[in-house]
Amino acid sequence: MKLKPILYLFVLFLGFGITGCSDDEIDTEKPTMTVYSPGAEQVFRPGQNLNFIAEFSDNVGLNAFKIDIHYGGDHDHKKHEEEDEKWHYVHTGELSGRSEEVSMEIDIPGEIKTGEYHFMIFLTDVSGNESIAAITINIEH
Amino acid sequence: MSNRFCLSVCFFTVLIFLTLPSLQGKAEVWNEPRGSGELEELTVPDRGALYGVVFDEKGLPLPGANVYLDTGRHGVQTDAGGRFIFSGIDPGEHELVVSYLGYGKASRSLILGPQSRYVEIHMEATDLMLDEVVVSEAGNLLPVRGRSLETRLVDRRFIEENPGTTLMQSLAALPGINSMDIGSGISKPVIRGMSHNRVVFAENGIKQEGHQWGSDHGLEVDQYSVERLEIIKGPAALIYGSDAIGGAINIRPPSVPSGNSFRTETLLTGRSNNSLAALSQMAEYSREGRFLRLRFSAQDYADYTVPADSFTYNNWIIPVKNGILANTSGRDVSMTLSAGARGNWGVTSVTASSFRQDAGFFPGSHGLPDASALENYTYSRTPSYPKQKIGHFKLISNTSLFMPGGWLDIDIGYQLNHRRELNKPHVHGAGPLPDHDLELELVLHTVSSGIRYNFNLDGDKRLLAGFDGRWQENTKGGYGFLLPDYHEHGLGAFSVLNWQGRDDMSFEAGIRADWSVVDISAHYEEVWTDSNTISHYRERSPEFDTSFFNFTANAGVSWDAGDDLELRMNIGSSYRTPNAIELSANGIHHGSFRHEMGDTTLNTERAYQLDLGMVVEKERLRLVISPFLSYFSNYLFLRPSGNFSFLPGAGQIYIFSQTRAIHLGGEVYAAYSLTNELELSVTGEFIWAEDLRENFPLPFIPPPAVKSDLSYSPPLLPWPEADLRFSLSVRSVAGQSRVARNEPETAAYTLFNAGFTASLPAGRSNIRLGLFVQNLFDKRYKNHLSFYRRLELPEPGRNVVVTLGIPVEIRE
Repeated sequence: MKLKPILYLFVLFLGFGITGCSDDEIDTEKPTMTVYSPGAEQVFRPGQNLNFIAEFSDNVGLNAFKIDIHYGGDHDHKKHEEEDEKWHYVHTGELSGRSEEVSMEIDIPGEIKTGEYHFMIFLTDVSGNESIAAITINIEH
Repeated sequence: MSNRFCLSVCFFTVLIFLTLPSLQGKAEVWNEPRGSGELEELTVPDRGALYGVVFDEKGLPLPGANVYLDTGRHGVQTDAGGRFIFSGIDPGEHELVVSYLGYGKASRSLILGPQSRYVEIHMEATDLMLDEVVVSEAGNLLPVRGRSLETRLVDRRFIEENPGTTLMQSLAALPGINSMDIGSGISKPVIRGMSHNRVVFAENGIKQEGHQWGSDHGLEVDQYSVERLEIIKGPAALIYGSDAIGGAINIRPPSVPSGNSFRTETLLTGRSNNSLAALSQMAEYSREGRFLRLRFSAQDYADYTVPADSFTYNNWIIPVKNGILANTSGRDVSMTLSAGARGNWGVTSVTASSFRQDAGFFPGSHGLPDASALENYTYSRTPSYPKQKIGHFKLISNTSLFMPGGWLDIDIGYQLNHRRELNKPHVHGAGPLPDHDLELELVLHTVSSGIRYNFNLDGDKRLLAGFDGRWQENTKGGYGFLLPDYHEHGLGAFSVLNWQGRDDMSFEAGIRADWSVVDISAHYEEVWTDSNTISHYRERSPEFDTSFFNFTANAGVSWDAGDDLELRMNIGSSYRTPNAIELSANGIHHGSFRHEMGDTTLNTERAYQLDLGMVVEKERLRLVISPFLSYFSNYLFLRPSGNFSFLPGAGQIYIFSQTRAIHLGGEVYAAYSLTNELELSVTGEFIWAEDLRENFPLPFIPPPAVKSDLSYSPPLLPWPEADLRFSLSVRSVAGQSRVARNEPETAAYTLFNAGFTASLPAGRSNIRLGLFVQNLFDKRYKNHLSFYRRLELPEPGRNVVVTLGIPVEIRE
C-alpha cells in the first residue's frame, strides 16, 4: 500500500524525537554553601567587626561569590521615616576548585541606622549555576 | 483621560452605526428569499435528523447549494436561508458533501448519534481563507482539513466545557497548548513550549500589542467575549509577521446576526477556590443587515487557596496561613461595543473594547519572599501591594469588499496598553525613598493596519497578497526602571498561493518580506552618595536605533489520502526581531531580581521549521499525530554569565545572548467512541529543546503530559433535544528535570477533574449549565510553567466551578 512509507516516516520522526538526542553530561547542579558565621538573628553593634566564615563547594568548579549586606527594615509599614544613613556593603571574591573555605572580617561602620539587616551571599559555579543564601542579622547599640 | 477617550470612541461607533444605512443603500437582505416571500419555519424532529446552514465566505447563508448525504443516497438544495435538513437518518458514520458553483466541493465524515444533529458549514472560515470549506462542529477537536499547518477551531462550548479564570487556562486543554500563569487571574499563552514574544495573539486579524515579552504580563482579553477562535501551531509568520514562531491564536469575530432580531446572553460563573464571581451580559440588535452588539463582563476574585500551610524558599520556611496565598486576588472589567453592516458589497464592522484588570502579586514575587510581609496579612478580595493595574483599549475596524474574482480585506486597529505596577517604595542603596507608590508605568500606543486581496486565479488556484504596517510608541513612568522609551515601526508585504493538485492534494506556498525600525531613547538613573546628594548619573539604557530586514518563505502540502486519512507537511521559517529590553537593558529587573544586560548587536531570531500531521478518521476512531522539528540559528535567551553585578541586591549578571538551538516534539490525540454515548480520548504532548552550543536545555519547556478523558452523553428520554455530558479526566504530567541553568526542576503529578454540562432547549436557544470539580483530590503540586514556580509556591487546590449561560432571542 502506497501509504506505508509515509507512516514509517512518521514513526521514524517520532523515534528521532524521543531517542535521537541523548542527554549529554550537563551541569545544572547548583553550588552549595555552609555559612558558619554570622548566625541567623545574630546581634552586632555599630563599629564592631563581623566575621564571615563559609565553606563553598560545587560538583564541577566554583567561580565567584558576592556578599551584599543591606538594611532590611523597609519591610515594616512606616514609609516616610527619618532617613538615617543605612549601611550598604558589597564585596565580591573569586573562587576556584571544587571546594573552598572563605574567612574574612567585615567592619561595621560606627554611624549607621540600626535595625534589621539582610546578609545575602550569592555563589556561582563555572557553568553559571547560582545559589543564594540570606541571613537576617540585627545591628543595635 | 482614558474615560473621556472611551466615551468619545463609543460615540464614534454609534455614529458609524447610524450613518451606515446611507452607505449601503443597495444592500440585499439575505434572509428574504430572492423573489419568493418569507422563509418558512423548518420543523426538526427530535431524532434521526441532520440539519444545518451553509454559509458563504462572508458568513451569509448560501441558498441553492447542493448538499448530499452518503454520496447520492440523499440530496437536497439549501433553501433561501441556506438551510437544509435530512431526516430519518440512522445513527453511525455518514458523509456529508456540499457543492456550489464557484466554491468547489466539500466532504466531511460525521458520526451521528440517535439525536438530531445541527451542523454549520462555512464555505470560508478563516482570515487566511485558504481552506475550501470548514465544517465546524461544536466540541470537534480535529484540525481543520486542507491546511498544511495544524489549525484548530475552538468555540464557546469548548471554553465552557473547560472553564478557567483566564482564557488560556481553558485553551490549555488542547494538545500542545499550555497556560503560563501568574497566580489565578493572569495567564500567558504557550504553544509547543514557545511563549512571550514567540507566539502571536490576534483579534480579528489585528495582533494584540501589550508587553508580551514580560514574564508577569498576561493576555488582556475578556474571555467571555470569545465566541470562536483559531489556533495555528507552527510557523505562522507569513500572515502574522514577526513573533509567530510557536504559532498564533486569532479570535474570530462573532457570527454576524441573521435577520431582524434582538438577542441577549447572560453568562454567570462561580469558582470556589478563589471565590470568583463573574457576570457577562451581551445584547445585540440586528436589522436589515446592520447590527449593534454590546457586551459587559466583570469578574472579581479573592486570594486563592493552596493545599499547603507553608513552603520553603532559600532555607526559609514561609507560612501560608489557612492555605490562603496572600494578595493573589483581582478584578477584571471589560466592555465591548461593535457595530457593522453588510450587503451585496461586502461586510464592515467596528469594534471598540476596553479591558481593565487590577490584580495582586504574591509579596516576594517582586524581590524575595519574606515571611515578615505575610505575618499581618488577612484574606481579601481587594489586592494590596505589590499589584498591577492594566488597561487595554482597542478600536478595530474590519472591512471586506467584494472585488472582481475575490474580495479585499481592510483591517485597521488602534491599541492603548496602559500598565501600572504599584508597590511600596524601598531603597537598595543610598538614595531617598520615592514619595509615591508607582513602581512602573508603561504606556504603549500601537496603530496597525493590513490590506489583503484574496482572489481566484482560475478554478483551482487562489492567491492572497497583502501589506501590513505598524507604528508603536512606548513611554515609561514610575520610580523603577524596566524598559526605555522607544518608537518602533514596520512594514511587511506577503503573498500566498494555494492550489489544488492531483490526487486530492492541496499545495500552499508563500513569501513575506518585512522591514522594521526601532528607535530607543537613552535612560540615565541617579547614583546617590547619601540621601541628599547625587554623585553622578549611570546609563541604564543607551541611545540607540537600528533596523531589521527579514525575508521568509513557507511551503506546505495537505493530502486527502482517502476517506479516513489526511496527511500534511509544512516547511517554513519564522522569526522575531529582538525587543527594546533585549537590545538595551542594563540593570536589575524588578520582577525577577536579576541584573539583565542587553546587547545592541543582537540579530533577528530565526527558526527553520518542519511540521508533519496525520489525521485518521474512522467510524469510531479519530487519531491526530502532529510531530514538529525546529532549528534555531540564533535562539535568543538570557545567559547566566557567572560574573557578579556591582548593583546592590543582585546576583550574577544575565546577558541576552544567542545560540543555535533545536526544539522538537509533537502531540497525539486519539478519541474512540466505545458506544454512541461513551467516548474515551487520550491526548499526549512532548517537547525536547536544547541549546546546541553549550548543550543546556532551553528554559520554560513544558514537561511531557498525558491527559485521558472519559465522557458519557446519555439521551434524556423525556427531553430528547437536551444534550447532557458527564466527563472524568486524568492529567498526568511528568517531572521536568531537563531545565536551564538556575531554573528549578519540577516533580511529576497527576490531577483528576470531573465535569457535567447540559444544554437544554428553551425557545430558540439552549440554556447551558456546567458543574465542574478541578483538582478533585486537592493535590499539592507545582506547575513548571507557573511564574510562582521560582518561589516554590504550590498550585491551587480543589476548585468547584459552576457556569450558567442563558441566551434569549426575539425575532421579528
